Amino acid sequence: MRFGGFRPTKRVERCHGRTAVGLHWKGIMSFSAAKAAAFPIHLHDACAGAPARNLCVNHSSAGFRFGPATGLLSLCIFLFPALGGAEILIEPRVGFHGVFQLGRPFPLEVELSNSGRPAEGALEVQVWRGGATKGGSPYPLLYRKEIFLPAQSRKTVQLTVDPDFISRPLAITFAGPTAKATREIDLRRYFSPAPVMLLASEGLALPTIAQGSSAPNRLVALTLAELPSDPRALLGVSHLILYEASMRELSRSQVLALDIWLSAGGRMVILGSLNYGLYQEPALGRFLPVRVTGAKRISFVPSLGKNARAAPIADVWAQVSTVIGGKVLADSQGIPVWVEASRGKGRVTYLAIDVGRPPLSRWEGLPGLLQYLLAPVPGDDSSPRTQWDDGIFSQLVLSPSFISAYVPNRSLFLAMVGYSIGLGVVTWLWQRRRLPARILFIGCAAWATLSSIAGYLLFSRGGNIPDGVLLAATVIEGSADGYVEAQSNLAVFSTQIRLYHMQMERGWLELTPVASRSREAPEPAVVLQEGGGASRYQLPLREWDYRLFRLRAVERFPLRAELAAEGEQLRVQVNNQSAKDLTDCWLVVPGRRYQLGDIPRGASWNRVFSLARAKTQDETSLSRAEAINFRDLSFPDKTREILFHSSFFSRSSAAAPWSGSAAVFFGWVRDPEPRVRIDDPRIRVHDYALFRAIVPLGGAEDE
Amino acid sequence: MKDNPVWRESIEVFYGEGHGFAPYFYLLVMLAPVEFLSLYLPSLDTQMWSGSASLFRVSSVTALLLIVYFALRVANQEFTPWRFKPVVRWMREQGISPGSVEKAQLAFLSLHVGLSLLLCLPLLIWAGAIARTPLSSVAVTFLLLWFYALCYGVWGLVTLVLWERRAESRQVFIRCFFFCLVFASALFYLPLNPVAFLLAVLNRQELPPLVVAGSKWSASTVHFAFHLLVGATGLAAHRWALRRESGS
Repeated sequence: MRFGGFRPTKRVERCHGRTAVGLHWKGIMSFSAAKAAAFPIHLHDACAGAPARNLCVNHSSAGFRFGPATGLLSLCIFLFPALGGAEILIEPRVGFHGVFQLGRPFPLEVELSNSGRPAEGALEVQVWRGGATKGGSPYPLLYRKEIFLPAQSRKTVQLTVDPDFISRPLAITFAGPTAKATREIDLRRYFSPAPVMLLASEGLALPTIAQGSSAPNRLVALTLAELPSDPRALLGVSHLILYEASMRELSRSQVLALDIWLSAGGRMVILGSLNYGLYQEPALGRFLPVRVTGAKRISFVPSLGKNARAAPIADVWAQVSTVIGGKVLADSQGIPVWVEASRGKGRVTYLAIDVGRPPLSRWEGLPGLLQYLLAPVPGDDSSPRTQWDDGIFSQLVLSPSFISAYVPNRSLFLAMVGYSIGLGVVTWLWQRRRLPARILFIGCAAWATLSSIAGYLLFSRGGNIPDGVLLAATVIEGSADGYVEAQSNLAVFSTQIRLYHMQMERGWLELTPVASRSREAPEPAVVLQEGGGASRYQLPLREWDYRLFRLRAVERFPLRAELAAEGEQLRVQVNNQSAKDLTDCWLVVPGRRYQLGDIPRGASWNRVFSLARAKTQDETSLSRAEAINFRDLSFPDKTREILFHSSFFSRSSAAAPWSGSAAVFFGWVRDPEPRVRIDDPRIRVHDYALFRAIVPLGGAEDE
Repeated sequence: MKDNPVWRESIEVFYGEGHGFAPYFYLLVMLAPVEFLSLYLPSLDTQMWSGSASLFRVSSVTALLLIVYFALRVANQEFTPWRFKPVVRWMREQGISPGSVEKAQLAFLSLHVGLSLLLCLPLLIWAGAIARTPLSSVAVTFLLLWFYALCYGVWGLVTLVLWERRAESRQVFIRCFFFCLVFASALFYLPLNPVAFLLAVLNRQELPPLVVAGSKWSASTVHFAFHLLVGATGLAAHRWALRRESGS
């Protein structure tokens, strides 16, 4: 077969893992999708008809052999690529070198290569959420990003994807007016059931660490530059091990991502090295619990647990440092060898000795030491979860105090009263015969018509009914170092058919839709659009429809509440260095509760409360009083009351600390910062935030 | 029509003397609270909170029941019956033809239904605006209310002429008739029921067709055919009753 001066040759080649047999044109020239359509024989025949399984659909790269008749034409097309079509090749990289933890978000890097004319379009990655495991029907979640690809260019896009199940493939599509390419990935090849451990090292051999980890976690070695800049992508990572790694080249967003990941519960293990200069870089210094000043040889006595001690090892290189935070767990010759510092819900472990150089690198006890270092720390339990479901939402929207948020009930009442008064006046005039009957009849008809028109304009086009309402109810759990974990329960409900754009504030980690029991129809697709450093969710809703979400975020909120039980007394220290006032604060202990009033911003507050039981109580009530009783607590705002009793401190969660003996401090945050924004005046936003600190008291029940 | 004494008497008693304000007062006094309180009541929908979503549905169904009920009672002259001259006397002593009486009574029924709809107009329009009901649906609702009120109301005129001297019998018949058509009809074939049909129209639902001896009839056709039959039968019965009264 011949086309003009082109001479086809038949050959066999590998096409993204598949063997493609077809007609190809030798050479360097690429053909546009349009040309490929015109000359379908140029396409890889085997791939064009193949089912979508890890294959590139649009890959019409073909070549030709220079012939005398086509030389000029080829040169023209080569010099003016705009004459040809865009040709996109999608090359995905899943997780951390092909590994991710199942059920957690993971990084997805998509490399787009354009070997044709410039192309503009949207990159979409589709994963599946919901499904049987989440108690709802499956629905697609689309990650969308607008991309411009210059001619003959390559672009890498980093995304964080979070499928709920991986039995359906992940689909990547680039679609624009001039080009379309699709690729599907079977994620079952990449997942790990346990969290991933990352090793960033210039010199430490992977096997050494690998031997040290007996956990089922997969260990992946990477360079720090490969770390994602989105903290959510790190949620499937349990440990980040650093050895002789320079953080100088890390971008600000990567450092921030590490910061947030740590605060959300990550563990960073920093292993010391002879090259102590690397550890004096500010980027690494912000994570170190010590200030490194130098290095020297010491005699190291390994401690392998409570009663296990190995023989001393001489001439071990160790970094000299001074502790600036955290707790020294081991030292040698005045040098802190093992220091641990907490950071939010996470932890930084620093080991001053150089395990990558002799004599320690040859020490047979090294795997055991590393195993001990990487072992999970007991007591890293997550905060008690709040309740959020259709039932609580129904209570909220039906409460008279909240109805006015989305329905103009007061205006309707006033309109009804005004209309009735108008009719009453007409009737009175009629009975008094002050005006002719005809005029009164016309007046009555005019009054009804005018009322209808005015009311219609007021209620349908006036500012009284919003298009939708975003309700955010957040519980902020206090921690020691100014970082807090915020659990937000979100409800978006709509009085119109429209699209909602929710913008996540910095620090958000997870946004999980709550499955609705009352829905039978499949949920519509949710689109997550990344761009400009912000994440925006696009959510379609019908009229009088709603959708519930759970959001988890880690943020800086320097409000510190410490509760310490000292015998029969409870010392409560609150230091509010945040920019927000705490209102309606309470301390609740078994059998008693204390109203503490407001704690304004900048205030520091210290008081001692008695934990002794009230003497008037009989024995039966004493045993009952061991658990905290929130039942009689009420708030002037009924919405707060519903949220408090049904969502924040639900009695149904039997495993919650307040079901046993505990002391609970809480206060409402005045004008809380929104964690989700909807920048549309037609959508009302109601934010509620409660700060709480809970300390178990270890009373008779616990024993 | 201005010269028709039956029409003028009805206008004078009902509006001139103000005896007819009572049904309009009852209508508004019942419709307004139902509409307002339905905002606070959980509906039986799958989405439990959608009280405000069904505001127009609840209001229009309430208006339907009230307008039809009061149309029947007004046509049956249940409000200040002693102020109206009996039909027999109009025809026999004043020499008014049955056709003129029929026209006057039908015109007065139409006027009452129109006024009832006019007075309900703001409440229903507001409910429609709050519940985001399309204006076309609101307009269809008003047409249906007018249609049902006339189709059923004409039977009030029939009873008035047939049993003019037996007020209690008329009242019992009117209430049974209202109950059968507005409630019990749903037991036989749901699309016959005006409430079910109105809700189906507002919900944009398809009602099941009627299948008789293998032939299928759409629910809307059956519904309107039935109601036109009810209305036409009522008109025929009214005309027949008037002729009978004038002849005897």
